[in-house]
Amino acid sequence: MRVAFGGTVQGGPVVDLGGSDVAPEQVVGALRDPADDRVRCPEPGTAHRHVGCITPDTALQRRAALAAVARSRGETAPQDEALDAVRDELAALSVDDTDLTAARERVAETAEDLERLRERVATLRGRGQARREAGLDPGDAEDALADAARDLSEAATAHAAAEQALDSARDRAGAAYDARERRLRLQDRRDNLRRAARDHLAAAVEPAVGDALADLPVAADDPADASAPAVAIAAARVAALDAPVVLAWRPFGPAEAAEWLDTPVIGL
Amino acid sequence: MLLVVTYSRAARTTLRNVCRTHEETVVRRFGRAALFEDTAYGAFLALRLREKHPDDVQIERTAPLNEFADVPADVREAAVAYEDRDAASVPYPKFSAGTDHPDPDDLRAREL
Repeated sequence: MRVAFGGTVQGGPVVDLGGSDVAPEQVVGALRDPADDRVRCPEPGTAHRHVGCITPDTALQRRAALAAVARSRGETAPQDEALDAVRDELAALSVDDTDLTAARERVAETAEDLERLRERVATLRGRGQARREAGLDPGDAEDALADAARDLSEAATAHAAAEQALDSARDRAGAAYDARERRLRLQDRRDNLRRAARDHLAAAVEPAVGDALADLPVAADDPADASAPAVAIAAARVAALDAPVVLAWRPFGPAEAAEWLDTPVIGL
Repeated sequence: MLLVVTYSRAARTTLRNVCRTHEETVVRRFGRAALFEDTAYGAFLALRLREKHPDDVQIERTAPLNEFADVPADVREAAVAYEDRDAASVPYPKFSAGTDHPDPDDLRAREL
């Protein structure tokens, strides 16, 4: 590896940046960015994301980290095949829109028009009748009634069409909801499988990580009590890492750590 | 009442949160669906959910069923008689054949 930080360029399996004011996040950021030339090394994998940067404040997602460590060693889980199948199915699933706002709005609007025109026709009819009964000439009332009746018939047609459109839109949305329900079930299934695979993988490397923990100079009596950085460094020893471990936690110096981990180390 | 059904994980989570914070408006909860009270506030909550997840929230308006007011007597009687049958293995089409009970196609063709 080749590391250009803190004004110096260093190479080899152990780089010590101790005493510089470089932050571990900067180094690990450069390491994971292929375009960043300040750290040149093999590409880091998933396990590196979990245990590749160890500081006193390291917060470890223990099971996820151990599962990634197991994967780096080529371990597989019995759920892998089913998980692939679910992922394929999810990728192939297409879901349509279900939004019927416009169709619903149209039905409500046309219903309002219809109601308004019904009232108008009734009013005009009443007025014409009253004039006739009073022996008066119905005059314009007849024409107005004929106009309103025509409008009413048009509104009724528009309302029926809107209801029909909403009905068929609801049918289409029903199919889209089916697809969405299926997608939700597949996502839940994928997550359950993923969790089960993670547990299986984590259990597969748990003993090796326990052994590594016991071998640490700062070992806790009970592995369950071990601090997050201690578990992380033990997991890093078990992992097959290509990229260097960024180490800002010092149970031992960078050279000793590199030897203990059997992995290149950038010490801070 | 308002039946609110969710179709994505994000919408399901929002529904869960809404149900937790508005227990007084939630009549019943079922996994990824819930019944809200038939009030303006129930509608407000349901519409907010749909606004947030437009394609993943279905809202329907439901009403309690009064079988004595809404369901014809022969349908009610058929249900009682069939559940009271002697042989559990007899399917309804066979059960209704040759009796006064309506046959399944007739039931399907009739709207409530």
